[in-house]
Amino acid sequence: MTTLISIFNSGFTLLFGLLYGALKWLGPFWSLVGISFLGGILMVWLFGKVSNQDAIKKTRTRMNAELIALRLFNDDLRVFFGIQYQILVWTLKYLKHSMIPMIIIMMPVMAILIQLNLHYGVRPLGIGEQSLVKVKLRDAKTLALETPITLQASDALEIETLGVRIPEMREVSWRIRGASPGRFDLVVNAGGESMTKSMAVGGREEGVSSLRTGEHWLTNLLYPGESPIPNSSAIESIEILYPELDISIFGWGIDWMILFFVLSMVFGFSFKGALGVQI
Amino acid sequence: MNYDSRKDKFMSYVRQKTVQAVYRPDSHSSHERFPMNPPSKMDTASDENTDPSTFLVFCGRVRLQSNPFLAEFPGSAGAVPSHSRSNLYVVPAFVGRNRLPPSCRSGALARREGGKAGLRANRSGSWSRLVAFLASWSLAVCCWLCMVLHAQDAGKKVVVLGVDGMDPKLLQTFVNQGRLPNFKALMEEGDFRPLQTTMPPQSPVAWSTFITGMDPGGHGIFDFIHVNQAKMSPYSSMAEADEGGPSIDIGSWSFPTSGGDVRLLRKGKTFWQMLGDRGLRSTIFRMPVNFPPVKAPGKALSGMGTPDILGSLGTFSFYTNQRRDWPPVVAGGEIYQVDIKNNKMDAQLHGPANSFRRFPTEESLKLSRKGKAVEIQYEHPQMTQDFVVYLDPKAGAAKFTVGEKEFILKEKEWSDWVPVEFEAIPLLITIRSAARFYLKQMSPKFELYVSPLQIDPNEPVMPISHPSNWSSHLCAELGAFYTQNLPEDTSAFNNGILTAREFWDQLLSVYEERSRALDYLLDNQDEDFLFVYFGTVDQGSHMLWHFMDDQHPAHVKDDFLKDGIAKLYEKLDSRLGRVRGALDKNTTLIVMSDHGFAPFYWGVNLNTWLLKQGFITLKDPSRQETGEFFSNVDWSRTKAYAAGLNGLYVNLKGREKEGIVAQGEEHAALLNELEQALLAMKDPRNNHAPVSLVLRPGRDFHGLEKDKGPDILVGYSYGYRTSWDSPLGMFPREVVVDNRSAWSGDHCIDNRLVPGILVTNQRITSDSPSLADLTVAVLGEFGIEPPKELIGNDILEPKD
Repeated sequence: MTTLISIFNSGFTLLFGLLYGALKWLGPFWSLVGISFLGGILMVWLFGKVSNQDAIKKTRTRMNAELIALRLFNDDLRVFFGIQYQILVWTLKYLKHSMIPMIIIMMPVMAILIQLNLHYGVRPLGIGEQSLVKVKLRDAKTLALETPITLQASDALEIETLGVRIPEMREVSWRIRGASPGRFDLVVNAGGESMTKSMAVGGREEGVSSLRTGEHWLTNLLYPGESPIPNSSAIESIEILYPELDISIFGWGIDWMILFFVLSMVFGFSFKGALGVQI
Repeated sequence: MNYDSRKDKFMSYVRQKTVQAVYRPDSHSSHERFPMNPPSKMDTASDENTDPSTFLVFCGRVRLQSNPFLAEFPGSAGAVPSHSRSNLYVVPAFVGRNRLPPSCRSGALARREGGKAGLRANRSGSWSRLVAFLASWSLAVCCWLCMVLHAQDAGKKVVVLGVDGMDPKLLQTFVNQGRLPNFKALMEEGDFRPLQTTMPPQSPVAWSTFITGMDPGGHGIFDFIHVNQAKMSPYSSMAEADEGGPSIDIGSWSFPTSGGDVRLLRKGKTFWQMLGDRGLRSTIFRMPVNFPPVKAPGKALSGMGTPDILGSLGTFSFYTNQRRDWPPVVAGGEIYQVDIKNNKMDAQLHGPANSFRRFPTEESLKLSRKGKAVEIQYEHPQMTQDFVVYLDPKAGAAKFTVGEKEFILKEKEWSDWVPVEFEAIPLLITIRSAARFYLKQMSPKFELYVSPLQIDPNEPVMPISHPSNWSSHLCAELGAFYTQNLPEDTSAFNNGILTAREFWDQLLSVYEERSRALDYLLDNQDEDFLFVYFGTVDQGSHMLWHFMDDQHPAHVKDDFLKDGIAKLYEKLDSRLGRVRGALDKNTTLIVMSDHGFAPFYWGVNLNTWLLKQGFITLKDPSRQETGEFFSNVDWSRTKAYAAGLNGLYVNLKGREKEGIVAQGEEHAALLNELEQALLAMKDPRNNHAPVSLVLRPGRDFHGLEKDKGPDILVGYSYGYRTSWDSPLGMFPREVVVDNRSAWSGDHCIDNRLVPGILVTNQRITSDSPSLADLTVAVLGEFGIEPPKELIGNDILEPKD
């Protein structure tokens, strides 16, 4: 499973990276608008492919007919409630026809969201900006004082403190400060082994991976930016607390996820007619 | 009671409690102790723009929904940011067909009425009307432009650097020593004079005079502290809060039906409002006594008088596992005992009371349990934010988790601004603030200082700027910054929570923030008038004087801090250099201060003196040194009492709660007697006269407010000041005592002894300019005639 996830991650991350690379010159907001446009179109097209369009069309027609009947016969209470029942029945049928395609669509949407999080969730550490590197160990014993645990970085990063060991959380944290722009690997030495983690300082917004985790299919799926840490390692995860990426419209900050959902829905519904898809 | 604890109580009284009275910490009991309402109310300048009735007339609907963030602050609940109101009432006045000028409407109507001939006829009519309309508009625009250009004096700009507490003697000394090259250059280019300050020379009073051009009789600010004589209780002179409307209570939940408001108590129109009336725009950065900021064209950020999130003027928190090392009560802060287990400390940050929740008071419950028929009293619980500190003594650092924010501090390090959020209603209403953490010591003792919780400038819960989004704009440009009153934490230093060097570091960090702001404002000058305030010299002079002055009773030898005040002057000199470099020759530059400084060697227990002179009688003389705020005073046999830092009040019949002195002749005779006695007072230790000036506001001031302050203002001699105990309504045995506090420099004395400074790139035409003159001079720079209420004269020679 983990291998499959890794292959999928590699392929999809590459694909999405190409798309993002083509749009990133627009800046975070407009590139997200572009991706939302493509995502909305993709979702509607996919919905059309995986759903029973004839059944949905028939169901919607019947629902409309029942609604007209409701207005025509609203003076007859018996007929009125009969129509209400029919509306309920056709609504449930509509849900049945939509549910499975929606579940199918959820999967690519999730994959897109994971990639979006990689590109729009956080931004590289700024020059002079402080943050933390958090290393989680598999065994609290590794945190024993006599065991050396170190962090190494390039000159682009200043490591300002010794590692603060928190046995209760099996964690060691360092305070870091961006010194000069660059992309490089942090090296964590713990339990007699070394593990790397990519790090970005300065520069424009790019996909930055905040967490490198162990081999678990779910965490690997959620954090596709880097290859997983082998389960045999003494290190469970390495995390950099990057600052959040600010996306703003006319000075108003907005969460990238809300923006994507709203825009992709708007674009999707706008183009369903052109794509000949019944929703 | 020992000296330090008495001093602490005074500081507490001045710095904290009085403002909690303004932002009432919700309970009725505190309301009783420190009532919010002064004896009288008048409309303030800020009220003119925010009158809800005006809003109603224009909007045609009931006042906007209350602001739940403001509602959180007891007594300040729910006011809609006033700029929103003004925007809203402007829009309906200009939008909508029926409000178009008739010349516009007629053409439109004619076209709608149709018919070719008719259309032609109407077209020709509409053309002529259009021409007439355009001509009249052009004329109006020309007139307006002429007026504005005249007022603007062809692109005239004025920049004022307000340096609180800069002293002319020290300034001249440091200039002579060659330490202040930019001041020297400005003096040579223009002029330099001591600037006569107000009596009393207290910052709120002096800045209010500069702001309004009136003396305290006009602007109504006589002291940091005023007295509500009807209740015989103190209140802050600068601002007050109104409670919101009644609340709907459902179990432990409470929902206010309408919001309250915060109001500036200073009276009179500000000079930048006068500039605004002529179409001139101003940027006013942290002007004291301007909370909430008055509305005028341009931008403003409030300064001195702005509360922290608790509604006080600054309440720090101190966490230690050695509580007994510290006094039980400290002024301006709270000390919390914490436990360290397995190198982990769990604690809470204490926020404001949650006005959406209510719980029965313990007292009510006790009485109820005893079966007594009592009405259950409720109180609002204090909101808290948990935080955790993980210590690693070997690494010499600790990791903090405050809400979602994680950061690491080494010992003796300050954090950046940390967001601190308090949840009033889960997922719905959150109160945002910000604090800085200082890890003073990790082991063997744990000591952590947390700054007062600031109103977050990014999402302010009270109106700290005008327009209301300017503070968030500044935050985006400059990062988070101190928003409270005077952020230099003199209380923490005075109580030994911070050492002198730690205070110095904090003082400089505030200075750096202000410097960044100054740079930004200079780089983005888009207004006609710019004012920037620095409090560094004032706060430093208060707290570092005893290092410089080996005669001081609290003198401490420290080779670095001995030169501390001079270093602060040098810092301001570098800022002046930056300002001079940014201005063109057409800009008038004024560097001014509200007052100077003097040593505070000896404290005068004025109430003890009044007691010894027979003006005060105690209920139980054997308990002379116990009790606070006149609790032991027999008012039926007391003629006068001292309150505030310079005020002396007659126990007047019909004004004071239990007044005995009749108004009229008896009052006047007593004032004469007091004046003579005060000036004849002698320090028994050296036969010096501790009082050198006595003013009577009713006799010596101008304006409608002159009878609303103290009956007498006491001007102390050089080296003297009111003691720490006297303003608390306490009666120590000795009349004059040594001041052994770190708060070692002061200016609340005879105003003739502590003038401020006026340095400008223009010639000064008066040998003794005053603050009120400076207000008129600023207006004069733009060719504006001062209103008749202003008492000063233009003292700047126009530039060629």
